[in-house]
Amino acid sequence: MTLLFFPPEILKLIAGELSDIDLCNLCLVCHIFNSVVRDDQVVWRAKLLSIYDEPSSKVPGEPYDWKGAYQLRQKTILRGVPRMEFGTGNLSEEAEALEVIWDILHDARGCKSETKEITGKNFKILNSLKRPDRTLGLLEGRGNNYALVAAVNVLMTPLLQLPEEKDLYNLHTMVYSTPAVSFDGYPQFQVIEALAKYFIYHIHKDSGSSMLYQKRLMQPHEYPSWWEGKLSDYMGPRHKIPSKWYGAYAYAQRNIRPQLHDLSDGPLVDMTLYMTSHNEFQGSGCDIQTFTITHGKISSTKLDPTLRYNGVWKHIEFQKSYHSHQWTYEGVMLPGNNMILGHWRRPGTLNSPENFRGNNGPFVLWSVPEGSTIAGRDDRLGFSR
Amino acid sequence: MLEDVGEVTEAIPIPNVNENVLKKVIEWCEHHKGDPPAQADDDSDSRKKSSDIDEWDQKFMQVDQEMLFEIILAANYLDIKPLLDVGCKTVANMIKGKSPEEIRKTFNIQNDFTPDEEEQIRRENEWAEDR
Repeated sequence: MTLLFFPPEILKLIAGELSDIDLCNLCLVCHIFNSVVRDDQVVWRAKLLSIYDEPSSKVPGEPYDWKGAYQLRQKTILRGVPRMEFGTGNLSEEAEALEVIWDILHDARGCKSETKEITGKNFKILNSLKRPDRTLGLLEGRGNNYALVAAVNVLMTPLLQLPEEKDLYNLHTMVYSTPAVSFDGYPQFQVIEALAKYFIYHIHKDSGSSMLYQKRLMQPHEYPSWWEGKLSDYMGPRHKIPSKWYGAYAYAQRNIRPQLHDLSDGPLVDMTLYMTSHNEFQGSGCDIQTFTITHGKISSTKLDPTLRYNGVWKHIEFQKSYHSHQWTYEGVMLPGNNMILGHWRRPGTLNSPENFRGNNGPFVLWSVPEGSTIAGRDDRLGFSR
Repeated sequence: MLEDVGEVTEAIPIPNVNENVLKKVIEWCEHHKGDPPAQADDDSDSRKKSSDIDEWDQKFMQVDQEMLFEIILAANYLDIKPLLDVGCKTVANMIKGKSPEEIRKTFNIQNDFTPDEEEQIRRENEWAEDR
């Protein structure tokens, strides 16, 4: 009796227990082992699903190349990315790595929990790519692939690390001077990334120059977090958006360089939205005063950095009206419908850079569980006035 | 198997399992009869890794290769998945960390590749190499 007489299904079970390098060595032993492992999609499917979430790029009813997908991911994520610098994002291996990371992000099954513990397989992989020596998160890049690098960073927002003080000036300049959405509705990924980093900085830095005050008003399960389910669950022509949102915003005063204390005295926004058609919404809410939301529009942006997931970056625009003042909010809803990043401005000032600069600021909104409210938690807020 | 044959009063012949092997299989089943049912989802995180063979099972599997292989085949034939799982993990542990030549020696297997074939497979395996 030798191992060679085992039925193929048992040899496949044994192969499924082996590491990548052991599996390769097994293939080199003899023809029988090689033929059992080499092109058997059952073995490679088991290998992939033992480490990664189910790929969403599979087309139902069509064969999926489990072996190719597994080997590309392992080669890229485990053996390639740790050695890459992403100085430009343009080298072919860097571009390939970004595409793989992008796919893994799209397959990642988000999980909102009070502890914010990362439970999904893909999130564990992505979390392992975080580098302590990186100042601005997972990857940094410039050049042609910058949009993709920025988009990956934005989706990784909950894992982003605090920017260093030396990077803050450039970050603030971008946040305060450039709209997140260009005139033709294209998301500006670099600006969205800067907005994400800006708010991450202010949310996590526990000092007077941060969102510490707003944070103290929230319960941990109300903090900005991951999307739920897979990003592919959010694709499609209909835009079902959560109804309950919290948020924060900052001011950029005319001719004054934005300072880090912009958010320290800011209110926490509490907002409820409801859809009036498949792409329009209204709402109401409260921060320093009560306000209403009108003219809300949601539309698919035309651009995705890989051109493979069109429509998941959604353009959001609405009017926020206090009793005597009105503000236009415009930004991008992230693919998981869990966060909106953008700018507010005085209506009609977008085409006037001077006016835009003087009457605008960044905002962030993030979805919170139904029924959440900050009423009664802050005596400065409109709720209790 | 019992589900396949239905309720019978006569003895069920098990021609593919000899007496010594069947004794070992029964010994394993007796020890594990109180275990909770295994999870059906093969893809779940809860599936134990190869190194997670419990101490009793490790000792149970300390037999010669002939007996180990017979136990695995019997577990497969009798559809005892947890025992099959332990058997496969035991064999996998015998493969881990070994070169192809060491695996051949361990299991007494002849190298039937030509040098060209071997080179071709090595090229296909480059995805797993540390660079």
